[in-house]
Amino acid sequence: MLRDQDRIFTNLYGEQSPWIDGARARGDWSNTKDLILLGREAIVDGIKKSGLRGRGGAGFPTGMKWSFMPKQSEGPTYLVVNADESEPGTCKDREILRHEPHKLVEGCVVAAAGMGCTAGYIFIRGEFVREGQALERAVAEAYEAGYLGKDCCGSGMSFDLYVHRGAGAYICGEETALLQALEGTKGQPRLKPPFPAMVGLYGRPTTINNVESIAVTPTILRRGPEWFAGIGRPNNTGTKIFCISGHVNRPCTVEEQLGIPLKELLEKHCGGVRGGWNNLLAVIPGGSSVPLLPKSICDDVLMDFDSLRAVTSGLGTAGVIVMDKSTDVVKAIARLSKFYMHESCGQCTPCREGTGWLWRMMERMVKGECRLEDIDLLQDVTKQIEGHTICALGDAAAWPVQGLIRHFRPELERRIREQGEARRLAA
Amino acid sequence: MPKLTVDGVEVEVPVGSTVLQACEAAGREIPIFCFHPRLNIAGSCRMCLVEMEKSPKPVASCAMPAADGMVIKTDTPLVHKARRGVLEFLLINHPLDCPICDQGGECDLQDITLFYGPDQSRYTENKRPVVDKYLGPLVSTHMTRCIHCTRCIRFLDEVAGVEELGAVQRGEHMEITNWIEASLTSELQGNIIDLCPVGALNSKPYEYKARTWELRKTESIDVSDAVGSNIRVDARGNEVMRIVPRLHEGINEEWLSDKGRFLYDGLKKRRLDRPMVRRDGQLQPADWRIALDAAAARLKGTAPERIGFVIGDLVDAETMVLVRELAARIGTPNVDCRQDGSRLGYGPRASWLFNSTIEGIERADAFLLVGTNPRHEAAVLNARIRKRSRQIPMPVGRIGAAGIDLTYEVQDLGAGVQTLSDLLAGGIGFAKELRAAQNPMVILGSGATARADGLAVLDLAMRVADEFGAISEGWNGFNVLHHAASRVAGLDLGLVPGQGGGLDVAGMLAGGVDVLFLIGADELDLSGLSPDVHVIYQGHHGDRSAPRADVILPGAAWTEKHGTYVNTEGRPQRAKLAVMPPGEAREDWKILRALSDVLGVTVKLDTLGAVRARLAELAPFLATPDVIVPAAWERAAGPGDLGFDRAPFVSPITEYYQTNAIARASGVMAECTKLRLAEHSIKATGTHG
Amino acid sequence: MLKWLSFNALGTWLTTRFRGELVGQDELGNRYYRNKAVKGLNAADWRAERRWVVYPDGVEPEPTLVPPGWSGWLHKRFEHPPTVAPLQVKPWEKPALPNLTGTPYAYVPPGSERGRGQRDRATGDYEAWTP
Repeated sequence: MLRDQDRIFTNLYGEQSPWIDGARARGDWSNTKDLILLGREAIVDGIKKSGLRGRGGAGFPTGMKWSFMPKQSEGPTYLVVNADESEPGTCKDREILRHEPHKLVEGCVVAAAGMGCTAGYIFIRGEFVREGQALERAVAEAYEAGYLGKDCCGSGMSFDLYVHRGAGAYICGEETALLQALEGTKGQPRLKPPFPAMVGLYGRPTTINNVESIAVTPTILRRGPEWFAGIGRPNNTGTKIFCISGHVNRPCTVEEQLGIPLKELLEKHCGGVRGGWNNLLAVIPGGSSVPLLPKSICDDVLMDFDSLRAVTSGLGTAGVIVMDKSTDVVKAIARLSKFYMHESCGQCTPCREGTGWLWRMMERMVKGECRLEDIDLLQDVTKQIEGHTICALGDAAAWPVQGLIRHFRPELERRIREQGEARRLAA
Repeated sequence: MPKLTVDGVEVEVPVGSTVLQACEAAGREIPIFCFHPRLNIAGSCRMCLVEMEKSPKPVASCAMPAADGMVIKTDTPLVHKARRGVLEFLLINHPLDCPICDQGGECDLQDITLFYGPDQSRYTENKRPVVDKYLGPLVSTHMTRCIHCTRCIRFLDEVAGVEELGAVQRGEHMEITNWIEASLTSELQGNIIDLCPVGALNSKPYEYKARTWELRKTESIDVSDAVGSNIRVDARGNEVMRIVPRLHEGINEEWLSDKGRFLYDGLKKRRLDRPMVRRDGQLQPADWRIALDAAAARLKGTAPERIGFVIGDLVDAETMVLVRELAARIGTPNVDCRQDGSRLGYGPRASWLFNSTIEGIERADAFLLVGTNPRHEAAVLNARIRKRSRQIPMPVGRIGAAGIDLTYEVQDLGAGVQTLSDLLAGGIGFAKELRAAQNPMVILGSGATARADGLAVLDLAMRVADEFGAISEGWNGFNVLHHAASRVAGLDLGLVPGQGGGLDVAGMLAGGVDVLFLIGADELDLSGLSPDVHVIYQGHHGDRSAPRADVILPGAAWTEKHGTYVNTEGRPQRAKLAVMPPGEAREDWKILRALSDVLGVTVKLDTLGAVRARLAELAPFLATPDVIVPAAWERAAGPGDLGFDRAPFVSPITEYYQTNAIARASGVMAECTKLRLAEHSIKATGTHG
Repeated sequence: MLKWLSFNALGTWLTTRFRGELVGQDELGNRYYRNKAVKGLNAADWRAERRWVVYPDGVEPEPTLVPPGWSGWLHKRFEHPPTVAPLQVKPWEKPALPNLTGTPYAYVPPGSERGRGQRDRATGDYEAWTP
């Protein structure tokens, strides 16, 4: 249980003003100049020491990512902030953009100082209209206050920050597709290598970070990496915003420490599962793209990167989707398959053709209109998609289905048998 | 040089190679769809996945740069499973209509499925249909077959330089389309048919006409321009079914211009298939003896200096040897191979060749185009210049022939001779850029030389080349770009009237001759010719000149004879006989040989071998096929003070699709012309008026 | 030489002479016969009757020249000859044609060398130029 004084996002619910006066009151922009003047090495070291892992889903250590940026570079280098939060079940960046935009803007300045970036772009999801306006106002305020521009916070660093609205494609949340969209071309992931740290936006070295990863950095540096590293479990340190939705009594977005037990998270902050813990059917612990967990695992699993990996799921974006026993779990996963079919960019073969096939088979599975062998075929198709695509969307489409088959195979078989029985009776 | 191990074989590949190239170097074949060595890497088909040690997932070998110490495996269960999986995905929405598909037999998807694919389908859902697109009269589409490799998009963007295809929608619904229903505007659009690995893009004129395995394939040379693109003529029975390019790194890489690819249906129309003689003011069919006698009678009855020979644009070198011999026996000095009125052919050989060679374009770093529109005069060569301009930032200056989009950035310097002499004097800003270049290229088109002051322009251009360092050790940047396939051979054989006496084309047409012998010469304006002039026409098409002729001797088109063509670089290449000439038509050199007998001035060249031996004697640098003998640089003697014409240079080609007799006979080319004239207007909608 | 020998075989001539009863003659000169009524021999059923045609002398015998009405009578589709019961001709029926094989009017498939008019396009065709 996170102590109140350890919370980073103290205005997550918008109780105070999100604008610059409110932000200053919460401590933002207080000694940004000092943070900038720490220098590149110290900033990156601090982040490394804090053990901050990327909050966008993959959980890659942020400090290490920052250290990939070339030390010497002719011409501009870029910081890109991924605010294209479209993962079903996830609404953490949205709260930050809405109520704590200055944390993000300040984070951009600090991150730019840490990587020597000359300009930053915040790629915000097109549907986030009010959030985009809030962010634009925050950026304008920061410019006015001299925190951005030629001489950031009086430190001598020059850094410009731009807000770019996306057009609402899920795939543009993939970092290289985001770069493509930012450049004005079709949002399709690029091949890696070369990695964006070498050839990124407009062919220049670029680092792409999630909103939350960037927004927490000033606080980490201000309060010291050791403080951050002291929260949570080893290798899974710090606080994290969890978004709990679905069949709980009070769905909410809440900042908690990593490694909190799932049961505690649901009971403490959400008033428990609808109808009591025993009414729980399954939980998708990290946004739509990770495999679901049945109740037996949910009982004692810890919410952090490594614990969830150990039970063949993942923390993802920490968008916890709770399903009680009234849920048609097959239909729920079929709906996710449809989402991935709709959002596949169509560039590479396995994802383009495979996601549609998956969805169609899932739709039949919902009604049980297939043969028992088709479950193995479904599993095989997910395996053919997984790992063969350019970006991770193929994997994300495959994993929920794999999780379903892994944990709910009897349910699938029951439906097929019942449908077969009904057909035989009808005939 | 990174060293890596492929299936236990250690290979060393050049820096910048991909894993795919390393695998090929190690003798491993990797199946590919989207990868093409001349296009950017897309990496989207995922067919080329291989296993790499220390990588949890299989990697796309076409996009992965080869690095030192990589260990690649191409023959593991993981790789086989990945390939089979990708192929299954490609096939689930691919219609299995191979039996009626034009690509059948030369389809990448067929071949790769045979070797790597699953043997049955597990897909029981409905397949995805896609609406076919209209891409103009040359390319037909069957978009349901498309596997989204995006080769066509990349080709048009990168090589052809027109951004007219793209992918809209996403996911399953992604479609390759041209947004609006207008035809493609590129002169290289036919190449997307070859690039398409499946039958989504087909040749519209060839569609449903033949199966690939019934075709007899003959190596030949394109004669629609002077580039000499290597082609393969595919014939069934005695009909040319299609023309496709052959690989030649030095000339056309693997591209072919649309005119060269699609003009073949003109080979079946307006053919001269029997000799004709004008009787009672009417051309009447006759037999060879009567026709030859009629021709010989007039030739004999005319003073030699009143006889003129004009050679057309599609004539092979062998025929020109016979013309030269025959004219010499008759004793006429009036022989001209330059029916466009060009003044070239008097100076050193370097003054009419593309000296840098086409491959040399890729070493050049500045261009000066004088009176030429390479996009229409030599489309494939223009693609080379574009390729170079994409490799390095490069200044391209143009004098004359303005207003045409060459698909790369061009500075228009001026219109005519004045600009050229200003440039020589350094009075134009471009002079500095040209001087700064290591290997500048000057390309002189026939728009600048086919005028009364042609020789003076030539001299000026050569001086510019000298002045701006285009001539140096190992680099000759002075180039003449021809647009007629026969021209260089004619100049090399000296088929020009000569300085002392002899009439050129204009002189002959102005009444200088009584008997005009046209060998395939159709680009002449015969309307002003005196009705008394006796015209003998030898050629294969009843085009512009045949109606005026008094005797017609039917010859063979270029697919119907063994011939040597010399391209603008001075590279002799041999085209082979693909089909027989129609009716009573004969190979051109044999006609002239027979005529010499009737005339009583027998030219003793009885076999093709003998003709070619004589060709090698007359022009030793044309002896070996496909070998360019570089011409020594030598400035022609100053032409004296001829005075300059102030008129701007204009490209000789006004209508790209209609430049020779075959193309003018072709229905496909006529349709293209119609569309071009309508400025690629939107397809008729039914309510368009 | 007896003329009849060249057209009618002796047996036919004799049969016609002794057994035959002339029923009628058509416009082409073909004469049609049937068995003479012989008591006790002729069955009650007309279908059992023998019927035959004798072609006119000096003409190439041509069975398909027999008019439809007589042909039907010969083949015992009708009981009575057209002289008694004229053939009912429907307005949509075309006139009968004799076998045209061997004549210039014989049927040739489209595309045949001997056909009249356009043949189908074939490989190797070209359009010759005419002034």
